[in-house]
Amino acid sequence: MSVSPADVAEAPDDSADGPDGPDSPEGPGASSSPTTSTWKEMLFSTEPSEDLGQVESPWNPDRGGITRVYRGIKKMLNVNGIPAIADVAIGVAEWVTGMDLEGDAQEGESDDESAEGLPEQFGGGGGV
Amino acid sequence: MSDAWTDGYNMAVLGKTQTGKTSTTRELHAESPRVSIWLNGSGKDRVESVPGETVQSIDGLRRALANNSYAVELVTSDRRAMIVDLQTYLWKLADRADRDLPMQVVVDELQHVAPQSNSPDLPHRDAVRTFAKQGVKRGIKFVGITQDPTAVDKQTLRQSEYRLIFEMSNENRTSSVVRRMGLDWNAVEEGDRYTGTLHDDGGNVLERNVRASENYA
Repeated sequence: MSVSPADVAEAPDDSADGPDGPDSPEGPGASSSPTTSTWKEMLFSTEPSEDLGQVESPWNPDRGGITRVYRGIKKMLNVNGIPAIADVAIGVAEWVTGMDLEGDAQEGESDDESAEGLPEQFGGGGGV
Repeated sequence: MSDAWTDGYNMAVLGKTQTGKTSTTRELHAESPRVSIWLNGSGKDRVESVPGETVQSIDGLRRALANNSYAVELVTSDRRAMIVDLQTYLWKLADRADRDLPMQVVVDELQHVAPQSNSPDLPHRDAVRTFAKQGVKRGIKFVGITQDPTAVDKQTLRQSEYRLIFEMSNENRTSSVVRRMGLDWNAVEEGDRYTGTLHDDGGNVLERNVRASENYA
């Protein structure tokens, strides 16, 4: 072949030292922040999570209406899990709320227990 | 390699799951003298062991090609969006190369990227149609793999010069899409397990017992 890919591909803007990896930002020599598509993928990642069909029945009275809310959100978004950005936001809110209630520990704890009836999948734990 | 594997005409690879389609195409991707780009899904949708440099975006592809990589795995969670960007980029690349850089694009589970649909507004399907209909003129060979040819955009399938046929379900064999290909089913059935039979678009058999080498299986 008379032309090689290096002859026609635009030179990289930065000096990439190696190939991209499937679980890493693009190249060690890449720009300091991930690309827009990488950010989008990270923020809206819904894996790992349980399938929609495995969410417990909303009619379970012990779980209350929040499970139904969770299931409804997943249906609206057509995903099998809550996006990572929501996990982060909810987890931060729960964490901050917990810190504020330290001064009123007795009442606060019982209030927290009822408020934290959130399923683990809803970010109660703050995991990303 | 015969001309079918190296020339610029499109190829459709059809057959049931676990019949050898992907292994054979992996070897084609690795061994082809053309610059070969495999558009792969991510996570559980990712085809394993695709040879070559792995990138995650068009920018990454650009860097890989600037480093003279001839086999590239382009991994993305949204192949439908990426195929549109890929088509745009490769058209520019082909023009820059004055159409003198032989390239190849490989898409597994083609029915997910170019589904058969009457909807007028499917940019991913249209991008694949563009590859299939106009890629040859730009030196870009399109290789599509599918278990279900009835679910693939008919216009795209029709543009395949070569059909590599593996064992297929009876439902697909008797579908109008496949019957119109005029394939030699005797030749397909006489083939060994995990081998394919290569046809041209006239239904003539070009090669029998096409099979991946051990290191690609």
